[in-house]
Amino acid sequence: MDQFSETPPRAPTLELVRAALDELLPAMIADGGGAEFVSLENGVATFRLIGSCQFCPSRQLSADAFRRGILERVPGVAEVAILYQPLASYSEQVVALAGR
Amino acid sequence: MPNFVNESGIKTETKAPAGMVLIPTSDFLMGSDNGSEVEKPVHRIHVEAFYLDATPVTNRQFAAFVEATGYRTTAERLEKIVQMQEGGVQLAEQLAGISWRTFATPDRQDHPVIYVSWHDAEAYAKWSGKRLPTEAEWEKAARGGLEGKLFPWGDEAPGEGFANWNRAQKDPQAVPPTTPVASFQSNGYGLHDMAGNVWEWCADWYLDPYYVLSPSENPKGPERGQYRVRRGASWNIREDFRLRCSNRGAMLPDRAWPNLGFRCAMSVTDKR
Repeated sequence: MDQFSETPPRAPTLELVRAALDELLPAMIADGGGAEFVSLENGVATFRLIGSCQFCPSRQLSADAFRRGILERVPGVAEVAILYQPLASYSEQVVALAGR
Repeated sequence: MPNFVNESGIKTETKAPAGMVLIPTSDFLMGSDNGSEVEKPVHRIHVEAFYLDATPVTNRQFAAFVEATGYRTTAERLEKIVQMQEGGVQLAEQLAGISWRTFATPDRQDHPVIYVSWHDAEAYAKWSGKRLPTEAEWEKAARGGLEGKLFPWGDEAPGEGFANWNRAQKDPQAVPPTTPVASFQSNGYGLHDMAGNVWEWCADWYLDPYYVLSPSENPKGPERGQYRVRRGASWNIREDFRLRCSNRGAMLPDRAWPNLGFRCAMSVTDKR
């Protein structure tokens, strides 16, 4: 914060995180997916994608959009971490397909 | 009447069955190098001519099928409440008592049927003498004859007047904000709702890296899998990347959701 700022930057609050989730979740829920808040520490908000979001073919793009949505709505969050349930890697799936 | 000659040399009338559109034989570029990993690589696919419903199947059409056959959908056959709950977060539910009938009210007869599983869509298609489109057929049709464009209408970013999307609502049990089919302009093939309104089931099993090893002629998807392909995105999606022709989707075949419907295809040689 520079010394001439009139107001200090707002610390991210759980209330703001919940409000952001309220906005973002309905679109995910209609697809059978969702996101669960995990933690907010040192400006890092962590979420876990759940339900159909975990196997969504666009999960990376979805996670990026979700990350942007949180950053836009919660001042003070410097980073959004997204947790997935681990899936077979792309190369593992190629190998599995080729082996059939 | 113009005729169509397929690769087998069979001459076929090009007049499409009622409510369907002829998608002519041609190659097209499938996938995208600028989307998700699963859309790569862009690859040239040859697809034989087929007919495709101009719109998703409506409540009125599905009701005729149920009346004629007594068919009970997957959701109607649920014996108990299936609640998807993870990590303390209540997800959308498939509830006993909620089915395609719940929202097939008299004022919604021309809306796409929803809460239908892949099995329900397959049953309807067979009853009507049709089939579900393959993923390749669906994407070719969505592109409307345009090559390398993002959306069925071209590259222009979608506003409200392009498709039914970005209308998610907080109450999962509220009336889903589908729109009557064909409420938006058709693409170059005369197909409506290829982006938005409801996701649409395809015949194929889904596999992330399928494009890597896909045959170049009339691909029909992997031989087995866990999820079935769904395409087109729906009323709830917030990000327009999902409206792109190349965007891929997948869902467990027994799932019935408020944003998931289907349309049918027919091979030209199968026309009655």
